[in-house]
Amino acid sequence: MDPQQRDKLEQQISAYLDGELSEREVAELEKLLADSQEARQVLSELRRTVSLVRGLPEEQPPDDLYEAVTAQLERAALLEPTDVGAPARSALDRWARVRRFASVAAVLVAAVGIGYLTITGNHKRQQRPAKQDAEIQLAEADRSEETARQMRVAAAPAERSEGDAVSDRPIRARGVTVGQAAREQVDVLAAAPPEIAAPQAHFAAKAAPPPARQPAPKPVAEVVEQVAPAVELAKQPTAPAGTRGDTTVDQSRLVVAAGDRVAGVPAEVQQVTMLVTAGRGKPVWQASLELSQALAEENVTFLPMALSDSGTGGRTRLYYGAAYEVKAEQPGVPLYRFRASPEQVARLGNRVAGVAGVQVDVQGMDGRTNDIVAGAKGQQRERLQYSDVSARQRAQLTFKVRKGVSAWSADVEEGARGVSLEADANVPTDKDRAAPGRAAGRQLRSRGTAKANEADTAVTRPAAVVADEPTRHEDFAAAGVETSWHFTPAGTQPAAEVEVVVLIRSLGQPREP
Amino acid sequence: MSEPEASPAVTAVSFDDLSLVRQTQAGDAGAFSQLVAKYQGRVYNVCLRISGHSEDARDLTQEVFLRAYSSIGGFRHRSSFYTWLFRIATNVAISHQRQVRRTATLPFDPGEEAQLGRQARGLTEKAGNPSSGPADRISRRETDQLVVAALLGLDEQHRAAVVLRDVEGLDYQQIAEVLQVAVGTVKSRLHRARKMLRERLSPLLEME
Repeated sequence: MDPQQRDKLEQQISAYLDGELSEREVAELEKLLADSQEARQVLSELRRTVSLVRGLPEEQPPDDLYEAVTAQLERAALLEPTDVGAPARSALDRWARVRRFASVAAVLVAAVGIGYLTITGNHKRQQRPAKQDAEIQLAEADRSEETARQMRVAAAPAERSEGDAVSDRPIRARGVTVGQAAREQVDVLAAAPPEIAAPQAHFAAKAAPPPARQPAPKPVAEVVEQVAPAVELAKQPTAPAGTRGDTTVDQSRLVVAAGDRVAGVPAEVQQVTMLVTAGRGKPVWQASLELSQALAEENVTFLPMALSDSGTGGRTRLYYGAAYEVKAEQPGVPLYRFRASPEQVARLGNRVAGVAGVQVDVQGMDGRTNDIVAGAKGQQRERLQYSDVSARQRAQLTFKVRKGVSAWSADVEEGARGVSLEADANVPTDKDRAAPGRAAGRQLRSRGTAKANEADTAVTRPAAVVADEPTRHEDFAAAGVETSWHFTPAGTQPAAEVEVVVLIRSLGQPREP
Repeated sequence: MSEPEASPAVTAVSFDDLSLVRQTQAGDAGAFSQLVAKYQGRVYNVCLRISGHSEDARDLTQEVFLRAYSSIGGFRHRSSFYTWLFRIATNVAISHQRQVRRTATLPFDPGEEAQLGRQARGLTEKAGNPSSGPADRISRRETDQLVVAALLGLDEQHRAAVVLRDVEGLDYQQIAEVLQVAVGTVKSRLHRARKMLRERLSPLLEME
């Protein structure tokens, strides 16, 4: 076989290995292969060569790649909006707006949450054992000064200098200040249904920063009291929870499931980042939740959230108006369900401007549903209680995002990161039980197979959720919901307690080039 | 898959590329983040196999998605999204490699080729040593290193063809769309690339 013929043969064999020959070409080649030792030798060598290349392992991208990419996109949107074409500029601008409005919305969440927290806190305080009550009062007293300072910061005049912004960290994003947003909201909400407009406008007016040279903001307690009507309204659903199809974000207790589509949602997306932390004082573990929301015109489709955790931190992104749900289950055996949804969503023009309150439903392992009212909180702690969580010792839990509802579920099948999750089961020790309210969220392990501490007994709760989701929570550490899980014995005492704290300080600070 | 209709009725929504792209074009940055999550692994591997360096691949992947996001307004669905994305990835990676080549030595010079041959022969002898236990035999990792080195010895165009075919599993038509060449050119490039690879990996092939 001359070199030219051999070269042609090799090319045909290469295509043959790829299945790119026609039937006629295949027949011709296979006949040649049957007759020619040289052709078979070429086939064998090429096949092994291809096999070596195809055998190269698929490398996993760096854990922080996704974060790096999204950060790049945000940076490009903020710094180079004029260097790209019109469609691209529009897209990048929108990306920037998501971030920008998130900062505004975050403050609204914080401000409303303060009032909501206080009210529900007072209500719950009446039901608490005296010992717990004292603990809470002490804790709240410790934080009262900081709370007041944060409120002053949140309501500070928009004209503060950048130096002030650095020192006090008022939330301010590229010319859009909280105060401006709140003042706009008054106008917008004036046209809203009375049951929504009145209390929200009232709140907005109170939360808005005073014009220059006006008296200082009112004391926190007074502001909080005046927020009360809005919060109470938020607790009254205007549509049955779980309504499908005609549910809109204007309705309280919007409950949607992943994959649901909701009509009438404003086109703009808001984003809230929450940090979920367990433990009192020094966090002992932190989990995070991430929710995606896809918008198509006036429709919103809710995707399942990704859950992530690490020993050092996590983060949550909650797009406004969205509900999310987590389930813990052993194969075929539901153990635990956690669902949270906003109670009130305020509109600003055609945009979502804020969320007040989060309705959290926890279905324990015994199948009973326990309602927890969790408000968006600002610089105060609300101790939330739920009970009737069955004991399960040495439980090994697996958290799974529901399958078949989004692209993320496809990632599950592909073994991609961030979807299939494992949870640690955590059991309070005798020492923990002896001190109700004491942090018991010890992380028994960080990654891999979850195991409960065999020395522990009694109530078992998922203590940590782990995943290969990249977590870089430092950017969000100062702006999120801090959730503390406390474990106390079942019986007369609550089976478990949850603390939710929203710390919103710097979210939305414009990035420096 | 058509774009979700603006109907209040609850329907299952398939988050295929098309709808995600359209949502992105409509201004939903979150939809694009889903595309990033979905394709970052594949894009990263394409960049890695073309550039040969994990750090470069990381940076190139970011660049790919940034370019894709910036250009997505002009994406007209004439090809599939991933074909379009891989085209960007391949162009970015090849362009980077050309830049690297201008400023540095070739990643696969004759000296390295000789070294590769020595390594392969060493492994061959190791494998052929009857006293070697299974643990001493050629590790998959070592083999992969040799294959990667041989792959990096190809020029960018041939390397890209091999990566798209044998790493990413694209067919000739898709490769032609990504590289924007004729199918016949793809066939020819793959043939030449494999021929070069076979020569460079001959010590390994003889060992098997």
